[in-house]
This record gives sequence, structure tokens and C-alpha cells, in this order.
Amino acid sequence: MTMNIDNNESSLGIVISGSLSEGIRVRLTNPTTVELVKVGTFVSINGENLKFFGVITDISLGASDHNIEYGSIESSNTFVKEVMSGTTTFGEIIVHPMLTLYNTEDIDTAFEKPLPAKTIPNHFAKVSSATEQDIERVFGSESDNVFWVGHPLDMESKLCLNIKELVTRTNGVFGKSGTGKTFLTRLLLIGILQSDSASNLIFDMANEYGWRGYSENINEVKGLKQLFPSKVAVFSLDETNSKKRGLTPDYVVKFGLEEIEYGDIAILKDLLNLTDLALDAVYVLEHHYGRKNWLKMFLSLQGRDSISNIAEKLNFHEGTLISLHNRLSRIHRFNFIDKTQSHQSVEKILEYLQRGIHVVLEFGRYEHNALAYILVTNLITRRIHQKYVELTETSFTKNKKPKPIVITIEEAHRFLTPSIAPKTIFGTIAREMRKYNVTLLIVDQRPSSIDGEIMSQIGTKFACLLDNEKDVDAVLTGVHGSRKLRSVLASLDSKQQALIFGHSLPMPVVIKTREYGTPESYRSFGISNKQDQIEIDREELFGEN
Amino acid sequence: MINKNQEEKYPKSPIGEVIETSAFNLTIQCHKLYESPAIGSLIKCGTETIVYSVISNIKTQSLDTTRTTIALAQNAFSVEDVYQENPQLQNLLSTSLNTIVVGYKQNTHINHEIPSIPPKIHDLTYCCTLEETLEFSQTFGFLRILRSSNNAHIDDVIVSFLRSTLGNSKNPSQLLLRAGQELARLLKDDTQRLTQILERVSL
Repeated sequence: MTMNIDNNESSLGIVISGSLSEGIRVRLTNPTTVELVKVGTFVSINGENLKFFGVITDISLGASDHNIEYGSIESSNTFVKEVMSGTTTFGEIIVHPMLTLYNTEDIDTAFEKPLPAKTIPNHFAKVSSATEQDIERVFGSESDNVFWVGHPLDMESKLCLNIKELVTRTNGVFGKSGTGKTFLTRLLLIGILQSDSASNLIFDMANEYGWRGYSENINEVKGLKQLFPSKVAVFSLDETNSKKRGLTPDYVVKFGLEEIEYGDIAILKDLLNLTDLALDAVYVLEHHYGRKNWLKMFLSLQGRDSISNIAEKLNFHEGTLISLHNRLSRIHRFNFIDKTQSHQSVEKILEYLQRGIHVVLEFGRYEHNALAYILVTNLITRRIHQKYVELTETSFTKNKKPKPIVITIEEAHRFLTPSIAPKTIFGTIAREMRKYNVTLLIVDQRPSSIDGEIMSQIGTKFACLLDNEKDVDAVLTGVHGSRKLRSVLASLDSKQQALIFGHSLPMPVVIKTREYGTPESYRSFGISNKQDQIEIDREELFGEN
Repeated sequence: MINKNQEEKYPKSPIGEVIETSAFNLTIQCHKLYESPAIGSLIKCGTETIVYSVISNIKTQSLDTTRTTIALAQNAFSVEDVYQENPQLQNLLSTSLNTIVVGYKQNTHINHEIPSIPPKIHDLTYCCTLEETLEFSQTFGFLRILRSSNNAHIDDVIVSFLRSTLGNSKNPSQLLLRAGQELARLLKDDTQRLTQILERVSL
């Protein structure tokens, strides 16, 4: 239900008390609106000199007499209830002021950007739900670098994000499974793509971004390649699987064994169930055989005797090396690992990215194989990191910076748990790669498992519904006024809603995510083709099926 | 009660006159024994400044306070027989009203305040018609004066006023709601009392 207060006037109530730290208490003028007001709604407060923008963080019921609270007044009489509502009993909302503007009609100051709220409005200041102009003034309007990402709660106006600002930091999309993380991520990727402010590299674990994805009610939605065929390249680890899904990949990714280094194995420690000693052995083996050949040589050892020999030589326990050998041969068995020759997959990816083509890497049949996902993701990202550090350093002399890259990783907590985050390349990128024009877009359902240091480096957070206390804590740490946002976060709808806050927005806001998956939605991205038109016509003729 | 019958009963002739006056309360003696409007009715007196008051009590007693009334109906069949057989009672007894001053009208403007000068003794008193009562009740500021009077049974007076006058208007629910809201503001810290009044008004 939308608020009927929008119809005649948007006035909600008046300020009766409050503080900057605890929020402003507003008494609702119309008692019946209490059921229509929602936590997370964007409101404006007209003070005497300043106009405040804020978010409703709590809703409560008040009474002028304690007898009502104690339940000693019991009346089934509708007249009594009618009289009391709004007089002795009333609705209250808590508004957390976020931004201020000078309350003036003056054209010069009317275009000033709002500043963070450092004070609060007077008593009896009028509170109204925000208008379209308010939203535009605070968040900007759609343009080249500003992307429409959704609507504020219960409003029709477009809420826009400054994509150029967004890609300068590592960002995160969090939410329980099935809350619309993938849809929101897709939108952000399109935003980045359309603004051309960075190149996307998407590690598409579940094959949802490239060619097509599915919504929860098994409706097919178009992937990036279908919408922007000339700007997106789909790379695949598994050509047969991609073809089965009706897509011929632009490139089939393969790796040679010599590309795997100690760091790539270290990140797999938990998945391969390796001991610290086994990891030490990897390190020593790499040293012994040389960085390029160690895995090839080690895995080519056949039979117990040859392993025993090398164990003796390197002063390791035979059992350690045998179990290490067994476990590492799991990597050996992946089809995308070429035992015989080396490949230029990473170079190819980089080449595409530098040309401004966005790369989606599909995992095909490995979609549920965490081992393959983490191995490949780490392998590629590590090399991109190396390359970008080089490129950026040389760019200082040439005065030409490499094109920024946004790397999208799903199931991010597998790379960024506190135990391995410091060791992996993702930890490094999250912490410092902003300097080198590489940032991450972390998509995850268990933010509590991500290293706290990395969470605190995340620029803009997109939080869909989260239930788990720890996850909510993790997402809100380091955010000003996080206690109040907690109730907002916990009361999000389980679909198509997200709380956005952080670097690229002037204030936190709850949005209803922009529609994705209907022919109209594709057209809103400026894409129109015959097939879309046919679908629209069919819908108009026969209704939705 | 002010209704059609009552308007016919007290058309434009006075119901009595003021015999005791103060800024807050009036006592009115009725011209005819037992012929008074009901408790809660709005009455008016005065010429230049019209003072409005609400009847809070009706008393009928012996005119001579030194002589008490004695029982006469021992052998009578009905109370009417007693009055027929003792015509002197009409002159020995009298009906009087206690009223609470709730406002005044000066130059067609109604104020819900105590008049600066109370009415005179012997000022003729009239019962307000329904139209006049509704004109007086366009706002409900007078409820504040009623509520703050030191009458122990003021809640009953308020209930009678609201039920009988506003209840007979064309659009009673809207008026009663507004009156109720005014009362709710006055009794915001005593919802028990408020509920009791409201429940009785809505009956």
C-alpha cells in the first residue's frame, strides 16, 4: 500500500522532541497514518532556517495517560476509540536527520549540495514525506555518470547513484539468499557499463550474468551479453556447458599447470583440508623445482617410492607429501587445467578489459565447485593485480592511467575470511588497490564471515534483507548512527528492497530496486530490438502469461 | 431536553428570572412550578450582553425556608390529586435552577469566556433553541469552563448537554466527535473519566 498522505498533502506531523544522537520525535498529525508510515521512508523537516532530510528509523505508539499503557482502559466503543485516536493516543515516528540545506527560495543557494546534519530542527517544525524534487536535490538526477538504481520506498521518483564515485571504492552487495542480490548486482554492472567509468570483470559462479539468468519464479531474464552484445565478452571455463545453454563463448579459458603458485594453493587450504605442514611443503617444493615447474613435476611423481625419495630429500614426512599429492591431484583433474602447455587466458582477459570490453567469466559445470571457483578467481585476479601495479607505476611517467577495473566476486566470504584475507590478493585489493584503479564488487550472503578490516574499507554497501544478528552487525560496523539503521535493515522486504549507504551517497536510503527482466525494463536501458517489441505487443494483446 | 416539544413549550416567553448572580454561577427561579428545561440545557439571559449558562441542577422547595414541606399524599390516589386539593401549593413552592456560566454574546460575537459583568437580578431568562445551541457550540471552548467548575456531578451535566443538544442536530456524529476530541484534550491525563463520559454520550 502506498501512503495516501501523498494525495492531498505530504505533511506527516510536527517535531515534539529529540536529539541529534537519538533522532527527532515527531508526532503524527493524522493518527490513522501510523499504519501507513514505514521505517526507512525518506522525509524532510522544514525548520526555520534549515531544511533537514532524514530517514524514519522507528515508529511507536504514544499515550497521554499511563492508564492506557497499563491496559486499564478497555472500550469496545468505536466512538471512544475514534475520539481518543489522535488526542490521548497518537502515533510517533523517530526521524534521524542526515542532511541540511538552507531553507530558502534564493536561486543561488537552491542548487547547493546538502551538508551532513550537525544540528536539529526547532519544536513544532513541520515534517513531510520527501517530494520528487527533494530526492533529486539530494541524490541527483539521471545523467551519464549517474545511474537510476531504484525508487525510494513508496515513491515513484528515481533514485540515482553516482557511478563514477561508486567505482573508486570497493563496494559490497549483501543479503540473504533469494533477496535479490544478483538482480541488484546486475543493475550495478549495467550502470558501470553504461557510464563507461570502468571495465567489469565478473566471476560468474552460477552462470547468471553472461547470457541469461533466472528469476525466482523461473522466468528467464537476459544477461549482459544479450543486452550489450558489442560491449560484453563471455569467457567460459567449460565450452560444452556454455553451448548447451545456447551461447558460444568469446574465449575458452584454460590454464597451464605452471601458472599455479604457492599463493593459489594457500587460499585453498581449508577446501583441500591441508595442514600447515603441507603448506610449508608446497613452499619448499616450489623452491626446489622452481616456480614454473613445481606442480607439474610434483604431480608427475608416480608411486610411493618416488614421493618417499623427494620427502627424504626435502626433509619432510613421507605421509605429508603423499596426502598433499593426493589432494593436489584434484586440481589436476579439472578440464580447464592443461597439463601439457601454457595459455594466455589472463592476458586475453586483460586485453579485453583494457579495450573497454566487459568480461563475464562463466564457470559452466563448475558452478557448484568451490575449489574451481576459488582457484580460478585467485589465479586471474593475482595476475591482474601484478599487471595493474606495473601499468599504474609506468603510467606516472606517461601520465596515462590504465582503465579502472571492477572485479565482481560472489561468495566473497570464501576469499575474505579473517584467516586467509591477509594472504590473498582480494585482501590486498580491498585494502589498497584503489590506488591502482582496481576495485571489488563483493557479493555475499554471510558478511559476518568477511574480515572486519576489509568490511571497513567497503565504500558503498547495498544491504538486502539480513536476519542474522552477526551479519547485520558486520554490515553496519563503522557506520554513523548504525543502531538506528539496524531496525531499517531488519524490516526490509525479502525481495527487491535494499538499504544503500556509504561513500557514493549523501545519506542512507532504502530503495525498491529498479525493475529488471521485463521488456520495458530492457527498453529503459535504452535497448530496443524487434524481439522486445514482439514481446510487448504480445503482452498488450494477450495479457501477461 | 431541547427538542421540538420543548421549543413549543418555551417558544419565546421567558422561563424565569435571575434571583442570584455571580460571575460563574446563576440561580434562576422559574415562573411556573416544575416548568424548567432539563439538566444540561443551554439558557440565556441579559439584553445588551447575552450571557449563556448550562443548567447544572434543578431544585423545587418551599419558598419560605423557615417552613418545611409536609407529606400530603396520604389519602390521595395520585400526586395530581394532591395539587388539585391544595391549590395553595402553587404559591408556596417554587422551582429554581442552578446554572454554570459558559459564555456570552456581544455584538453578535460569541465568546466562550466568563462575562466581565454578571447579569442583573431579575434579568429574564430564556431557553435557547436548537439553532441557538448549535450556534453556540460551533467550537467547544466552553467545555473547559464546564470541566473546571467545582460541581461534583459536572460529568453528568456534560453528558446531558452533549447527548440532548448535539445529539439532536442534523449531523450529530461529526459534532460529537469534535466535542469528544476537545474533551479528550482536557482530560488527557484522566482517560478513565474521559472514557466514561464518551461511552455515555455515544449511547
